[in-house]
Amino acid sequence: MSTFEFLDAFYRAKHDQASLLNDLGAILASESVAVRLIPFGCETESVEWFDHRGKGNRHATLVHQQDRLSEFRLDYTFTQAGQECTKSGRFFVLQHPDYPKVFVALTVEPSIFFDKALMPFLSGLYPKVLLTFITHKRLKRLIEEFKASGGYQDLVITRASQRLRYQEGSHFKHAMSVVSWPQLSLDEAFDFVHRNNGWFQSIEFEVKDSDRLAGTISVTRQGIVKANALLQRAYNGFTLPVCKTIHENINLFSRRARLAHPDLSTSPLVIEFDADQFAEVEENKRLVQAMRKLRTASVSVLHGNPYLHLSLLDYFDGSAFDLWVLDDRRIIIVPQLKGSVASIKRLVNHIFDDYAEGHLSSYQGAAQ
Amino acid sequence: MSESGKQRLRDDIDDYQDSVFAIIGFANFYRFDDSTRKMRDDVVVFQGRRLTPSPAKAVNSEGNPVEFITPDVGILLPSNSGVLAEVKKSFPANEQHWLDDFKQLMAYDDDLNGWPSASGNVPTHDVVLLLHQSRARAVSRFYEKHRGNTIRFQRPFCIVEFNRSNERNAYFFFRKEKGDLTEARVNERLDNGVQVPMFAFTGTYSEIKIYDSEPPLAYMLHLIWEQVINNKASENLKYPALRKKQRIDVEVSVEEVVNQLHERFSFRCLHNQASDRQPKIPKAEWVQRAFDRLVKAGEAEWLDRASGKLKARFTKHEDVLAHFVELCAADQENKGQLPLFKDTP
Repeated sequence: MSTFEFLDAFYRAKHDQASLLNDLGAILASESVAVRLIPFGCETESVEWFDHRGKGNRHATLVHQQDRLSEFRLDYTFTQAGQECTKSGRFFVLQHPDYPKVFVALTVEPSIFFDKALMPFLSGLYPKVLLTFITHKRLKRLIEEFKASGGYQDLVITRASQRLRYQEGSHFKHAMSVVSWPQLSLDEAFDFVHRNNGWFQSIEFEVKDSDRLAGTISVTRQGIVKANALLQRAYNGFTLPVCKTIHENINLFSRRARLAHPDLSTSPLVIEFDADQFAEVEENKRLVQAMRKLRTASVSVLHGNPYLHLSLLDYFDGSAFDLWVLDDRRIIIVPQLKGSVASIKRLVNHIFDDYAEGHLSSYQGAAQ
Repeated sequence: MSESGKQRLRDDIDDYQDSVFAIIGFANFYRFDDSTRKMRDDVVVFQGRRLTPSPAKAVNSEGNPVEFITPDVGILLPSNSGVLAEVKKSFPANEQHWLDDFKQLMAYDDDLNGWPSASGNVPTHDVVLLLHQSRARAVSRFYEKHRGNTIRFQRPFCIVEFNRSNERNAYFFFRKEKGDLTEARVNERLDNGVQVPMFAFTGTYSEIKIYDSEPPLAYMLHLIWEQVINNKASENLKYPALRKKQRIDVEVSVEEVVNQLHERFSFRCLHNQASDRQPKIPKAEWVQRAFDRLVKAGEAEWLDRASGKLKARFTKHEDVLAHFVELCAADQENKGQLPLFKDTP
């Protein structure tokens, strides 16, 4: 059966929120395709507004909606070999049962739909739609837990892309050609990237079960999963925990703006690091250098040494922040009058991506 | 534009911020309750409040009438006693001018009216000079030398020195240099000196950015641009996609800026009392000067200078502070005002 035929048959059949994953899993069992799961947060508790939403050369239409499940058609135009092509594909959006502002987009369409249509469409809905990020440590833990919960014999890394932070000359390396991933264990691979002050943008691994290849799964830093088998397990092992993170972050980042409080008080956040991250004053410069790479923003240094005080403006929505480093292990982020969830997420994401990963929480302050 | 000119402006901004931090740190010795580890509701802190002198001091030594005095910090305690303090991050290099500063402090040594108490008076209060450590010892010697002659205090007078650490874990250090404070618990703590970690007040530092001393112009412009003009510009639908050389026209008034910065970035958040005695900070003339500078730079135009209405041409600067430091450094160089040596400390 051609891709068109089985997809057509799949879309003609009725799916509901309870059966969708099973139905998609059944396709994976019979066809050589992959399903992608894209968890995201939304400022509203519904995605009906995606209907008739156009972003660039992409236009979404709501095809079907029942309870927590919505099905959309996405028409898109792109250029291939100098020719303008118009195509169409479908995706589902499943609302999380417990976290009403958290959703998962699912599609079984080919990669070109994912790359040229769905991801640009969702990214273009920023700041109403927010993708997330998972830390290097957390990604490793999720993969380990996935392996343990499935009782799999081995996970073999087949492909990975990684980013390294603050390389000399400000050019990030995107590939480490010397690394032969299949020869490295999961621990070795994660340690290697960690030692090189980097993180995996995506990691693809084969799941070995009693010497049999049970499936190939990839997970990205945004928590996007691609699976050609073991869909339910991948959903439970990666997508649901990432949904929980999105929910927790939405809560953590909400109502941080001073204007959200009648007394105009601040609600700071803190990023704590394991070691004496800022033991050397030189580290301030590295952080400033990393912050200056934040796109579409103003970064001003009010004080640089020995303590660090930055003033930041996010030119996406006008959010403003004070950022402080006052001891050797913490960055304190103080949202000013405006401090949207999207902007706080973007700022923290940038610090974790371009400077270092730490533990994020609400800052309680301390008294003298 | 010389780097030294820009650095001097940045140092001025740093000094200004240090003064704000010192006021916050000193006031919190009185506000903070050691037993509950919380700020006390019954201690009132005020900044820039106008107090009326007694008839005996309603005329100064030059024979001019004194309508009111405005100490940097005022503290009203539950016992109804108080503290009035003046903060000096910098002190004139020339000792001949020091007496002027003491005259200012002696004006606080008076039966003043206008305290935020029911009667408007307090039975007694301390007078405190909060002074940067680099000058504290010399000023203390000066005080001793002239004490009882040209310098006289009826009420308790105390010199408290402060300094910001240059260590990785940043803190402000406060210590009594001369005299005693009436409030025993504070007096005891400041006897040997106290290190106040800066992280303890991160929230407050981010809420209070100005006091009743005019900030360096570059800092004033930075505050107005980031916290008022940027906010208004961000309400425009063009804002998210605004390119580097594009602009959004933002209409703003002196009154609006004064009100917003006063509500959101002055010490008002500590006393939270509207009073005729509590003038709005920033002062309208500071904002007017900042607006004039924007107009001169071609980044705004007056719609009506008399009523303070301005149209700012908002653009997205990559570093707002650096932009205004550059602008103001150019002014100084053009005027040839760059001094060879910094006066203090």
